[in-house]
Amino acid sequence: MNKKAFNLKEFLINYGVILVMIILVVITSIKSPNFLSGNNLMNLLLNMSARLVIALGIAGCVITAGCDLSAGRMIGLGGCIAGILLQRADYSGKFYPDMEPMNLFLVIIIVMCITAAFGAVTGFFIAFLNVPPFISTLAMMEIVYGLNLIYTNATPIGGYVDYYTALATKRFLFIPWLVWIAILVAAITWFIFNMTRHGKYMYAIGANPQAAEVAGVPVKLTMILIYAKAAAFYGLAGFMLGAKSGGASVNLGLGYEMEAIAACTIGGVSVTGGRGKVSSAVLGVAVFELLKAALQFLGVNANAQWIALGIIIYIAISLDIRKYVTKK
Amino acid sequence: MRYECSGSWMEYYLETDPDKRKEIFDRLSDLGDDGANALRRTLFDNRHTDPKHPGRPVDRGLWEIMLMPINDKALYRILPWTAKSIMKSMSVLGIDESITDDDMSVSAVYWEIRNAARRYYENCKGSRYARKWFGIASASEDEQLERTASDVYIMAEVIPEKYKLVEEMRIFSDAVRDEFTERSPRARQVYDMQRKMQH
Amino acid sequence: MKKKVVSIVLAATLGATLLAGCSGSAAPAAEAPAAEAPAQEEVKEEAAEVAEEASEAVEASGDLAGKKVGVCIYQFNDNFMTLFRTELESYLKELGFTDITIVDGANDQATQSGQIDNFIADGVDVLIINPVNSSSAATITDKVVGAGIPLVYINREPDEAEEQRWADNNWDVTYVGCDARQSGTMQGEIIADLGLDAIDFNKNGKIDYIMIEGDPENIDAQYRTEFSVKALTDAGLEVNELDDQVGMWDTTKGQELVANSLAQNGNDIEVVFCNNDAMALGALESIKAAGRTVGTDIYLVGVDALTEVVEDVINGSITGTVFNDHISQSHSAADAAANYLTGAGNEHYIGCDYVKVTTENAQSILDSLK
Repeated sequence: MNKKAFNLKEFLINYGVILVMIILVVITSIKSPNFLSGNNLMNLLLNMSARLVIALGIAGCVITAGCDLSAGRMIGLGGCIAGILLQRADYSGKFYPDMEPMNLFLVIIIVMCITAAFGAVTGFFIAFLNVPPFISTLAMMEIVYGLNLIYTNATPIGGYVDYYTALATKRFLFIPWLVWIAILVAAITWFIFNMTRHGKYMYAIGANPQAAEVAGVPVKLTMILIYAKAAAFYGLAGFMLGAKSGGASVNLGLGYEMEAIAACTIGGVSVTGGRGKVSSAVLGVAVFELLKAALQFLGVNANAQWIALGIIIYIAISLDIRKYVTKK
Repeated sequence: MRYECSGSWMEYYLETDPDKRKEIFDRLSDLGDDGANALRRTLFDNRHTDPKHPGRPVDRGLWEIMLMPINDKALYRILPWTAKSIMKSMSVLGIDESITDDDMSVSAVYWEIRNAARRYYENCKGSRYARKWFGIASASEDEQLERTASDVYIMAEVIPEKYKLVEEMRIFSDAVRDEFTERSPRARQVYDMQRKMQH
Repeated sequence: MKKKVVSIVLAATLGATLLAGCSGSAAPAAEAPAAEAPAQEEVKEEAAEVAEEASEAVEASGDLAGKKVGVCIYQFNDNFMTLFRTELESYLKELGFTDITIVDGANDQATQSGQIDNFIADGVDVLIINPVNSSSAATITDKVVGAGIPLVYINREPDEAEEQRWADNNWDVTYVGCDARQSGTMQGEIIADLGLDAIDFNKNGKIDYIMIEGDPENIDAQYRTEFSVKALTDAGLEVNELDDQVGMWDTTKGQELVANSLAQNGNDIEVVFCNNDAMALGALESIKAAGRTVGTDIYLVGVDALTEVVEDVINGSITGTVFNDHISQSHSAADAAANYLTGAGNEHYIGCDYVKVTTENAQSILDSLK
């Protein structure tokens, strides 16, 4: 009855993106052998770590058939607050001159709580006032940006303590701490998505919000939690980006939400919601970072890189739609 | 046919609202017992009672049907506990070792699952279902039908094959598939297209 | 019922945002663009009135307290412009101005044009404008001069033909700023002064460098890219460009691009040019992560003299930067504005010099910044 012979077309649709990635790696490493050097792979992992945290946050929103446009600005807010709390005592441009730099864990918690609060407000508008996620997160994006501008007065934040920027350079078992943070977040997210009741609620809402309500899912509370958790992740990503770059400003993270959504979609989170896994986010982020690095190594004109990214997004989304749409 | 349902009980299985079903059940069981009443009662109570929070209105049948498609994940094929969790869902729906092979019991289970599926499909419309493009655009009725058909196909055919549970899940597969394809000729058409495309 | 609640909440939020936008000097942009056609007529009528008032004011005591100053900044979240506008605001207050409004163009010329229209309609007495596109200066000049308001351009220089126009027509328009080419030249000079032997680590007789550019649309980025290298060739040194990437003035992007470049080109890279300090800071992180040391096996220069970078120059982790003197520039701009209002007038170009920052003078620059 259902003998599944090897179907080339189906294989391409499901795994096409991985194939493209492998081809790209092969071509680039032929032209520039340093592409596969340990140094470069470490850079790739570092770049992926913050982006993965963002993608994991946004995956929750996309799975419930929404999106989160405020991610970028929340990253900026997180990065600025984290930076301000971790400036060296002897830095002449210190934001709070009389304050000692704080403990790393404390800073992470503070940043995540602040951004989670904003996320909860977004979730409130989506759940209780039925504002579409697109509009609600768009509004929050502007609000967070404005607050960040007022708070920092657009001053660039810098002069970090060594133990903050060391997160990107110091390694534990050959892997930088930032990457470990990303791995931990991925593991926690996997656990939430697959092992907890909240995760099941999330998938249920993504599959059919109306039926979910009928089946007894606390839809409103779940939505608030989803957006709050996503926002907490963005704050953490801002913290991580600050450690990696050695600085932060209100500009940090601008536009990162677009790439995160695109990464999730490339990796397999469906644009219509209800389907998606942690591995989708990992795959999508890996593809994007590989692509960006490869383009630079191949010497592609810096401006043409935008075009390449756009083309990849087109290809990936078309392949995704083909999975679920029947031919007429 | 295995899944026969005597005419008078059809009313019980066509109604989706649990409170009304209770009334119908009480009325019909007063009229007589064809042997399956006790089983029907058990199935109904199991479906609408949450063992952890007795007293709270739930619909576990609807819940299991809604969440079945997400078991179609690559990693899960490797992990041993997914097959177990699918069988657990089956037992919530009434399919477990205790069910005898006689037509009456199988029929009762089949129709109860069909009823849960019916309740689910009734909710597969409206402006909130299957919104496209990250929730910005709403889908047309045909697109919603396609989405549901895709989910049904995965539940009824892809998952049993993947986890080698075809026989164990047969009643479930038949129930969700029959309920969907019998909704309308268009539904049947879309389902067949789904099967052709995903093959 | 629910729909009503949503509309009320949305309307209230909109109202609150508008109110918030009206007050204070650090107001973000996002106003609806003014309708052009009807506004033009109003502006012409008001222009006549404003011109009359302006001439009256000039004849009056020169007291600046009652005068309205409008300041248009191309983008608030630009590091240098933040220092500039903070200093400008405090100095304007010192001069005696009380009614100062500063607006954010959000790097969008259309937004800024709308803001200028609003200022004109509001009847400001003088405008200080940092144009988003210096190529749009002609339109801006016509608009403001047409309303009879004196104009001080800052930081982004309109082209020579435009500046000539002001002189020819004897308008109250001037430009206060530095020659962006100079910042690039000074970057190159900092490197050239080190001498070929100190730089040429791989002994190939050339200076191997990578260039990290700012926003390619911005004339400062273009000049710095071009003239930094030109200073090297003018000094008789041979150069070899290994990589040229666009960092968009952003620290994170700078870090990522330099990390990739270091992985790709390895020890061949001798000098890292960054169009601004923010990107240089990111580059520094990547250099440290790759295990290299500035001053020992690689050189790094930026532009802007941010506090952190000047500190790094003092302790040797950055080779040099170029001080864009926001203090004297903002003071000159404020003085120019005051001069127009008191009738003293100005030249059509008020220039100032960049200052090279190397280990020799870094400490004194840092002290002057405090």
